[in-house]
Amino acid sequence: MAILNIERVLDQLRRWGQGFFDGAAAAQVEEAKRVMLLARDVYCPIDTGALRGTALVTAELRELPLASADIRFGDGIDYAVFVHERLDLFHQPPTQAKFLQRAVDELSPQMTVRIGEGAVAAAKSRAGTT
Amino acid sequence: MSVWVDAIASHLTTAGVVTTAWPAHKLGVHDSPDQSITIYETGGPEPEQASDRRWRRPTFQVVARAAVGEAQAANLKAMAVLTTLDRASVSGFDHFRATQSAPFPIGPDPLGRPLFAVNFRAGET
Repeated sequence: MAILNIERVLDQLRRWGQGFFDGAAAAQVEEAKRVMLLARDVYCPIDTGALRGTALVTAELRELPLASADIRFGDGIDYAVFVHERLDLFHQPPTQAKFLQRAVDELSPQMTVRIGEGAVAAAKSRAGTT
Repeated sequence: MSVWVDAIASHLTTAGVVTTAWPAHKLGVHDSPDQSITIYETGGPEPEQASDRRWRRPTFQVVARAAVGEAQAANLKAMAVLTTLDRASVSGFDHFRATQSAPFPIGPDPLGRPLFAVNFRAGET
């Protein structure tokens, strides 16, 4: 038995795999941005706006399939941790303490689904399949 | 008042962390005594679906407060809370997990008293 076009099949599989991991990494960064935006624009308390202005997502794409995305608030603002952690202080709703945790908790249940969908879509696109 | 927060306070009492000198407050802050342990429920993510059941995964925070100038005492008490509750099982919940390796300062409060906090996640049994 002979497999016709074996090199072409292998090449397509390689492209599919690469696309899958690239897509997963990109989707992971998008999820981090989604969390950051919800925390920044909805739940982060505002006084001067300085804390809100420090919202930051950084992504690190290492040797595949490793990737990471960090969400940060409060660089250079010494009261940031107090705003996030002090539960005895009043904030005008919907802003609140635990503003970043709230966003993570709210979005995390569907996060893996969305990352998976992004990975598969990228894989199909890269491999030229639908 | 939440039954399971009561159970956490009882667990800390049994372990000797909550005492008459270090009373527990639940869901609210009291001005006195200076030394106190406050337990706050902080919600947590939506329950996790597994087969036909949904498992709750609540979160909570414990804050130790001490007298003015006694930050070390508050820090040590918060550390005792952490070591007592981390991996503990309490009233229908297990898998308590501290989400920090050590307490961290979140104070002082308006009266200048030091506050140290530890956050936890729990899982329903």
